[in-house]
Amino acid sequence: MSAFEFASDPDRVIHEPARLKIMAVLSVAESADFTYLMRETELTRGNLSVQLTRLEEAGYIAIEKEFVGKMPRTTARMTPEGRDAFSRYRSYLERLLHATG
Amino acid sequence: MNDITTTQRRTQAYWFVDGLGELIGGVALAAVGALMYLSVAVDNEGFATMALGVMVLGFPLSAKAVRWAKDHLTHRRTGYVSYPAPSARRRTTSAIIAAVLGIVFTVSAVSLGERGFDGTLGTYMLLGLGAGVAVALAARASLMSMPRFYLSAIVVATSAIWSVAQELGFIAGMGVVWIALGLASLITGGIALGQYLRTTSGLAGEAE
Repeated sequence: MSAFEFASDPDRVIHEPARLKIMAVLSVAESADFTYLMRETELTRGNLSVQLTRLEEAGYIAIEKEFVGKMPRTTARMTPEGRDAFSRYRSYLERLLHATG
Repeated sequence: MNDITTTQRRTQAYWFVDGLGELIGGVALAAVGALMYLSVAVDNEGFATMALGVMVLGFPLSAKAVRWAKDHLTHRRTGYVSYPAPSARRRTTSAIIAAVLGIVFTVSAVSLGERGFDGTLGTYMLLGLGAGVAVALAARASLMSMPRFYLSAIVVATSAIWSVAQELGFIAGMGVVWIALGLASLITGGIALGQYLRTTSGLAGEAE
């Protein structure tokens, strides 16, 4: 299979850099809150919110809202579908790197 | 790919970023070590009982204190991350290792008595435990890219060797190792907390 064929194959939902970072965080965490994801992705609140919604719509993450004392906390966690998609995406990248030497 | 790995590592290391675990855990470790050492140095079983009390009550309390401190400082400042529970396989492996070590320790203590326990076998056990803890700390330093844990590993290895050279015996020797690790953790935790406070801003709040 050529590198060109691989290049047409990525999961577009994860392929976007900010969403890929969110998925990378959630792949090793049980959950992470909005504040942490904002610092890690360096996105604005509005942009992060849009990216999280996109991942949630794809079924890759679940978003929960809770109160810790009087402070609201929005957390995201990866779904089993998200875990599969992230794993497939990593395999895709590895194959691509291997194919392009 | 490197970006993915870097992000994953940073997230995995986030628990240690503020040094709170080392600061609070260091106090508990140093207290246990001091009580273990005192139980031998002044030959008073009361200190050994107190050391056991700190292990049974103090360690869970210090874990709660770390979570409380993180909720009031770290999570408000730079966010909250929770980690998956260890897998069943990992829990089983840890339980088996703990059981085997416990049986070896108990059988040795009962069959050899106090003198034998403080003799050659005690020396090997002290060196073995010191090496085990040092390797675990060095592995954490490497995996999390946090060099300060190398310092703790060196402190543990050095204090174990020093205790053997001084012929302190197993209990007093372990006491010295825990005191050394506790104090090293206080120092590294304090430096990490100072660095964290300097490099992060105040309340980030919540929104989305």
